[in-house]
Amino acid sequence: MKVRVAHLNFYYGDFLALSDISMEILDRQITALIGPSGCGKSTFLRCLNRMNDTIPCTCAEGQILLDGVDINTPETDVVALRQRVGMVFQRPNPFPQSIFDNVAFGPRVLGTHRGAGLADVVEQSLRGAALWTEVKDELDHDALSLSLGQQQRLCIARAIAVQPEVILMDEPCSALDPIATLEIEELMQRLKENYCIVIVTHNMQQAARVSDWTGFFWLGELVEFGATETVFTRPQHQLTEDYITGRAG
Amino acid sequence: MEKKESFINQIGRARRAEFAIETLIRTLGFSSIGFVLLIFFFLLREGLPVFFEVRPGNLFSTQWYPTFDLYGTLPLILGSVLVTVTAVAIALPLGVATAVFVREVAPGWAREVLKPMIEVLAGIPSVVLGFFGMTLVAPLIRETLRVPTGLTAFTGALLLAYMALPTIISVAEDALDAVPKGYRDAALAMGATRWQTIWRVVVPAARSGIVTAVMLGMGRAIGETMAVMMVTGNAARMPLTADSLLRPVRTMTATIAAEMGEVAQGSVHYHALFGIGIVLFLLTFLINLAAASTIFKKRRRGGLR
Repeated sequence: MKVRVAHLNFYYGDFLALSDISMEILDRQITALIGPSGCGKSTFLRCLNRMNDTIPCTCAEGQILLDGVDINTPETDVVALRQRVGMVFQRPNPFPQSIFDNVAFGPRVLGTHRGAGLADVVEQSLRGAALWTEVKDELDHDALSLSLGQQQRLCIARAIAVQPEVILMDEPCSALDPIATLEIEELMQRLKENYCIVIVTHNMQQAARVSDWTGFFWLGELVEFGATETVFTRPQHQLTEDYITGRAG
Repeated sequence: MEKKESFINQIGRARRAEFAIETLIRTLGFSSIGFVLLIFFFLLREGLPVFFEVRPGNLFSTQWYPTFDLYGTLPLILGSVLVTVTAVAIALPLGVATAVFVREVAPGWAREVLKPMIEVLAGIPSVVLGFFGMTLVAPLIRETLRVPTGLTAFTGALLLAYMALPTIISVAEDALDAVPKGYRDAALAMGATRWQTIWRVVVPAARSGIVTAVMLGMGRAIGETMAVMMVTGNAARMPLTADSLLRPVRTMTATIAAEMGEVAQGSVHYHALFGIGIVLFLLTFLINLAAASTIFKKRRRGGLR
């Protein structure tokens, strides 16, 4: 088990956005979080690397254990945490710099690699994100000149260049066309051999296709959590069944 | 029948009013273009003769003594360049750092207070600043740096930097503000600290806006007259020695302002002053063009994103 969340409550000001969430996330597996807009799935995802800290007037109560160590404490070094728990965002957000500089950003900032070592990390990361063959001759080009799908894979390469343990993906395909989406999904299957992946998605077929585990959120609560096959074929709760068959939400 | 006619009359009147207003607005619009062209024409008419009346060797020599027919503009041009470049060198780091502080570090309420205050600074009349410069800054420089006079190029540069700061801060702050949140999030999510995020992602992403800010500040500095005239000592010497910053200097603007009142209209000296005006005009035009082209480049790339 990589991450264990116990009795997590989350507040935006007075508003209770997540209530009493408990979940176990396994290493080298893909865990999908589904649910309607505003159900708290993205908020939950952002709790796992404390990105919610950047939003004022928020507060998270409860335990989030990463390898058995609680990371939801004021003493937690969030900078170190985010090096272990990387994130890919909804809209591809490469920096307006060259492709190389984008991937090299993390290693440079953390000071882990220099010179030839840095070039190696960039190549490995781009290969890992299935982008190397497409961009290997234009590493000095502006990252914004890539297609959206390539940009998103670049963001994944940038995230894995830091060598994280967990990768969080917040609707990584919602801005992409079907072919680019398929490429990202195939990439996720390869990445899960080395990383623990948590993905938030609006697309239930995507959750069914790619994930090993599925959690269904509804109005800030985790209604159902289990093996993807079970959740999609024999859901325990009526609400889950209504949602995945399109009658609710 | 009568009713119908009055209706048509009404329409006719409305049309005439429309036409009158349209014509008025068009005339005003074109006349402002016309005035600019007239200024340019007048400047050329009064200034161009000097290039024929004075030999180029004299015009670009190092001595400006109009009474002895020596019209060397080099000390004036270099004086303006020295003061302006020094002012920008001072204002750029200060301005960018302040913009970063206001936008990225200061809490929300402080930003609300700071931004209008900085913009108010831009409204201080330059003669008031020049007065402060003469009575406070110049003596301070004379005593702390132990130079014969406090009226130096450096004093002028300090005041100009102060005058360019509000523009630089305000425009640079807007540029930082326009950097998408996604860039910050991406950097933070990789384990970059707040400072690494600001210096390696946010500031580079706002680079073109910051360049524009500096260009605008520079445009303001090079054309500034009153404060510079009051504190730079106005000695037309070539600022080529290492200590030139701490010696008096004379700028193009100060020369025109100081001498125009006493010159005989139509004389060579008169034309020479207008010639300096043309040079000044070209310089500011080039700077503004550079600023505009960075803005244009930014737009073509689809905004700051």
